[in-house]
Amino acid sequence: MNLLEYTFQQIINAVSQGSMFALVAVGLSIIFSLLRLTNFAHGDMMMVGAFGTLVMQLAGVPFLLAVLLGIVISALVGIIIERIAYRPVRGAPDVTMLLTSVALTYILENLGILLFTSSPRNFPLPDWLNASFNLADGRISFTSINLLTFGLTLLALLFLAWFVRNTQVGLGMRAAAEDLTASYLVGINVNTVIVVAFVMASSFAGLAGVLWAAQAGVVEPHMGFTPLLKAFVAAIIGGFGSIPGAIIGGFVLGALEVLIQSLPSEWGLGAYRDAIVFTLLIAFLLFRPGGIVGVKQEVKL
Amino acid sequence: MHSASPLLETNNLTKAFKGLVALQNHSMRVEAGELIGVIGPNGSGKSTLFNVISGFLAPTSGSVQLLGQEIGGLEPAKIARLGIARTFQGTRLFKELSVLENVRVSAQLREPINLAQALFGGMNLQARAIDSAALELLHLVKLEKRLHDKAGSLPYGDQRRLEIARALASRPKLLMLDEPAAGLDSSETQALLELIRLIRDQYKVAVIVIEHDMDLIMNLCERIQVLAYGNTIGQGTPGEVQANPKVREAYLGASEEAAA
Repeated sequence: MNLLEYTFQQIINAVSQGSMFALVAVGLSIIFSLLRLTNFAHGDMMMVGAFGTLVMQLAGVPFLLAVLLGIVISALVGIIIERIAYRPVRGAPDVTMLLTSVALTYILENLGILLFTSSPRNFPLPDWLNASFNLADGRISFTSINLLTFGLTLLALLFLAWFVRNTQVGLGMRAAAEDLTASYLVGINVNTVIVVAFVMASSFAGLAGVLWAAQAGVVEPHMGFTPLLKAFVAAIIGGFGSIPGAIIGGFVLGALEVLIQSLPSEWGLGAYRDAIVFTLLIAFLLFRPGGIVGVKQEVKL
Repeated sequence: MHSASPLLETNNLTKAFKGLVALQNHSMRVEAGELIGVIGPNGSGKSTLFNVISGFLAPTSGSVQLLGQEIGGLEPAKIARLGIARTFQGTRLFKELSVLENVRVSAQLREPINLAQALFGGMNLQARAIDSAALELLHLVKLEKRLHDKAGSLPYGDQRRLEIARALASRPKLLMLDEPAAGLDSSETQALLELIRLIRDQYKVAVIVIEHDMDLIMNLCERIQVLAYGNTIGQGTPGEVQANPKVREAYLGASEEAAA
């Protein structure tokens, strides 16, 4: 394997990893931009989407339809938690909203344990999803899940970009993200805007959950925790509250993680991957809280 | 409009912040299509009045009625949808949105739409109608050449007119302008005066203006109300208000002294 091929292989890995982070981070950023809410329960929407898909499959629903229904279920759960948990504390101090989201995380994860036990379950995939592709006589390889992760993320993000530019609710979303109070006063139906934002964020997370489970081969109630933390890092280094920031941050983080892992193993840095990532997060919080795109509102955690 | 109820009526409206009474026993009647001025020294309760009428603050006591319906204490978005639009002291545009988008965002959602419409259909059905109305408004305020510029990049006077266009986009029955001439030079103020008259004639809205610029108020308004320390100390035509000794003492006198 020559250097060019090796680099190309790592780029494939980085793009696949980065897509996943971007998909989760975008949802975090949308919600934060509207409500100043740091939504820890966002990761659990991944779990909901993956378990939703699994249950549908076990009930005999064909795979693609099961995935679609799994995503719909996470969107519905998103609507429900907005209505019963977040709306009552809207406008409360940031810490109140943050603690509400932490409580929700515990409730959702324990519900998951109650329903499915905490042991990981096999996530069955159709054969065509397990296929892998080889280039350059097998020295470069990728799976259909890699391809799908990138392709579906791209579709989701293009849809989001179209939505916020060309629809009335999307326009309201951008207005409310800039000035929530003024949005109420010019007569924007802010509740509709916020519910739609939760639907989008939760279905993106649900999709990410299915992709994550497909890559790992298993689902379990705590599966959303690690990707949530990574998505937070991505959203913050990109610029918390900014959609382009979340996307940039996702791909930067994906590239960084793959880069660390692809360094020569005798350097011994691979084991410190997460430590390096979180050090970077701290550095951004200290020296560039607006992230790469430089959002004006500083991040409070 | 043929009912006996005036467009807007406040009765014994009072707003107190803890001990401080910012607005006391305020009463006013505004008929459809009227041009009303509200003047008074700083801290006289003018902005409080706007904030209570637009739902930004809930009244402590008294009533605010729009066409006979009590609106005191309703949510701002609800009041906006019932037909009251406002601008803010010093403008409060969505600076990251384009000029056209600022107007469109206010023209939208006048009719509450359900979630399915918001996500899947309906979102572009209204768009054509909204856009043509928005373009007409932007023509009116002479911003038709800057449709796709960011609102934050406009000069101050343009931002002011854009905010008026945004307020009009919700097709209000009553438009409330909070110090629209502040920071404008005299030719811009003259243009603003003509714009407000045009808006009243063309869109049949009643307009209430808070302003410190006496020339604008006296030339524009058909009736004027004068507030001082939250109390109404005089009202009437521009001539009557200027002749009112209490007003001269509390307000015009003070400004003559300040000018001297």
